[in-house]
Amino acid sequence: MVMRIAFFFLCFFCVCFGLKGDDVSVQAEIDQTGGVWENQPLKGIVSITHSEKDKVDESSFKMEDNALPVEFLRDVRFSSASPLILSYYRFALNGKPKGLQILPSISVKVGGKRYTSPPSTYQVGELAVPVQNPEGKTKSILKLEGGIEAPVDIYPGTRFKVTYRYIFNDNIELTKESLPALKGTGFLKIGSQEAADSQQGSYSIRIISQNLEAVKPGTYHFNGAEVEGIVYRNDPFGGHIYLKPALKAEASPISITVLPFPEKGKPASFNGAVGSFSRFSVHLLSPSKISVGDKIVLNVQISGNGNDIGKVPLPELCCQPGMSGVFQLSDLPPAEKTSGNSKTFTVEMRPLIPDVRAIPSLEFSFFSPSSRVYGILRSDPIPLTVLPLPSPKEEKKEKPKAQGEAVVNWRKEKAESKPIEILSIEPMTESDLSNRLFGTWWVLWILPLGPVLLLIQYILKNELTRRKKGENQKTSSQIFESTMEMGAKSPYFFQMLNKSFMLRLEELGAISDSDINPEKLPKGGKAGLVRDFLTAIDEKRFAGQPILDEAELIKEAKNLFNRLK
Amino acid sequence: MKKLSSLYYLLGGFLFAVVIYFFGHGIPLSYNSGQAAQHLIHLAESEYREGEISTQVADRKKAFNLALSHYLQLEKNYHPNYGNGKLYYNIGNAYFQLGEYPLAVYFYEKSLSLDPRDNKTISNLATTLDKLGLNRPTTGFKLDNIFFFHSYLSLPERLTLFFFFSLLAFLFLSLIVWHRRRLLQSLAILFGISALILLGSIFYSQFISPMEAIVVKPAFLYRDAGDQYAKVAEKPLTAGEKIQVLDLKGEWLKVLTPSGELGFIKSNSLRII
Repeated sequence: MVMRIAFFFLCFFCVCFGLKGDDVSVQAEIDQTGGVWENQPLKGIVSITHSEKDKVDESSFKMEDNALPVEFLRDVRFSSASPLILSYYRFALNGKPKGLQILPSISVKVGGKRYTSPPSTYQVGELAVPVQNPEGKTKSILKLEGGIEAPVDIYPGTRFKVTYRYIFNDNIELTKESLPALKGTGFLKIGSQEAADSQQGSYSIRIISQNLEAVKPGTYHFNGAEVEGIVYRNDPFGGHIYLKPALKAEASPISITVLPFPEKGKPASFNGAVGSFSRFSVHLLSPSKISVGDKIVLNVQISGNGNDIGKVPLPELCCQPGMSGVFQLSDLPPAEKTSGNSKTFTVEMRPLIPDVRAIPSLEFSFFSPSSRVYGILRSDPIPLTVLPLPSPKEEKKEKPKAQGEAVVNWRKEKAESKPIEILSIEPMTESDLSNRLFGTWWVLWILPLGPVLLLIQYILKNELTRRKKGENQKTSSQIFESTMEMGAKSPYFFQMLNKSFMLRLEELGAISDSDINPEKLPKGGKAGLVRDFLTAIDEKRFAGQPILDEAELIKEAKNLFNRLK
Repeated sequence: MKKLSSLYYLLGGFLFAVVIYFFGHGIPLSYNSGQAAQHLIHLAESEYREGEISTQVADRKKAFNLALSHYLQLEKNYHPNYGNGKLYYNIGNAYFQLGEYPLAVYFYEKSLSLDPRDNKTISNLATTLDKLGLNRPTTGFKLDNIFFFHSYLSLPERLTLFFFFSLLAFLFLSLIVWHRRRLLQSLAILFGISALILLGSIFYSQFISPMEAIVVKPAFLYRDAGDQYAKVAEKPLTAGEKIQVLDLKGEWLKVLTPSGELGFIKSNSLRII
């Protein structure tokens, strides 16, 4: 048993020592930086971790038993204390078809011993390669086309798009690019340039466009666009190989005509709104009954599918029928708010004259480029009552008087100034600045304190009653004294005498209850003496024998009572 | 026992006298603060009287402004919110003379809350409301016919009476502990019930009846706490109007107007009485 265990450990240690002996590792991988494309040369890296004293044999690299040429890149030391270094070598392989590929193991001799890297996988992507012409050669093409996407007729406010289209079939680096129409000189640029790429067969298409808006009528010319570029190939090391000659492409000039709004049928209220509008309404926000000069606030709303509803201008209200000379609009620009396909204006104005019955029906006109006609929308009139301002009283003109009289008149005028309309103030003292003592919330403390005090009194009363009850009970001495004072002739004498002696015995602890019959007293001790004395008296009394010597009786009673202490 | 009963009667009589005195006069100020207060009162009154007799508008305005500043200083120093309301009446007068009618209404209402029976305040308030084109709303207490004292007496007065009745009830109950007498029992019950009724009236005023406020500057009523919400009505609330405050939401108050409109108004547009 012991021998078996020892043998096991021996084998275990041998394996460990064997493993410990190799500090060399070889790793190989394809460099996928920048992408790996089908049929394109591949480059890879072999990294070898080894001891400094073990040299790498550069001529010993093999892949699938074939020699593999490599190029040394660099050595990296792990640390100054460690003898291990990391050596990098570069290699190149022929292109592979697209898909998941396997890099086979690469072996190398390090320190006279051969080491092998584990196989690895890499992904080869698809590359759009030019279609080979029948002669087997690739012809690079670059074309440029320019144009506009716009309605047939362009009017001020109409929006359209200017586009340039690149058509090419190779990797081209542009060296010159001139696209004049994208600048949009004479037009309003809407948004920024947009670019879109697409593929049509073997050709790549790139479209660059810009939205413009016509501002003024006229004809605008844009020179022809031209571009220039050089075809290039990617080298195995990620750089570009340029092929001459350079390619050039041109587009024909672009001419845009912006037509003026037709004069025929143009409404007087038209001020440049372009599009299709469906609703125009005016609402009164301020009171409908006002005086001359008071402010009127109107809510003017326009709804429709204009080019950009936010750019629709407010109709010219000042000069519309019923407005001029009647209402004065505010000098400040109206507040605007756009929401969805509606735009709202808040307009302020003031009536200039009284007796105005209504805000007249207002007009909004627009031009529709699609139908090439003007449209007019009208709001409903709004009832309004404008009151005149009160006219100032006419001042009485008096003859100029002598200075003294003038002073008197002046004083009289001043004395007749506005009278006091209310009752005068109340005279105050310091006490008027105080809160009522019991008029604040602290008085609520009586709610808990009152019952507490009552409870204390109740307990106190019970205690006093109990004590008093104790004090009312007289002692045996007190009863005996009052009995002696009473005298033997008193009818209560013998009863009280009996009670005093029995109470005395109870006080002494000779008996537990003083209300018992004296004949039931014990015969011995102090109780026996009392028993004898009281029973002798009772015998004489109940036998009808008179007690001859009352003084002797009292003396005997006193002696006996004094003995009971 | 007889001596004890006498002691109780004496104590009860003394407390009764103290209550009556402070009910009428309030807590006296300390000597120094009393001197300063008297001086300020004198200044305010003399300025006000000066304003009343001034014939020049500028002089009148100046005098009333000075009087107002003195009265407001007194209010700031002593704030007699449980007093007799005279100071607030005088402040209301000063505001009226300066043409600040909404603020005059506020202070008159505040004075009336402390002394509801003062005819001068009622008269001046009516004049001010007339200036603003408003009517004085009737009291909102529905059981005024039975519990007349609820509107007739101010809150401090009801608190004082409550204290007085409670004290007497507890005094008589204390006497009952020592001497059982039917008369004492009846008196204790009588005063006890009176105290409870007053307590109920006090708690109703404080916790059940809504707070009231005066609109001091015209403001719109909104559907929710914010001016981005829709307005309840296009016409703003009139300054000087008395409204009920139902809830507080930040700097917005939920209110109910006399016409029954419910909405939110900014707190700086009104003052709570």
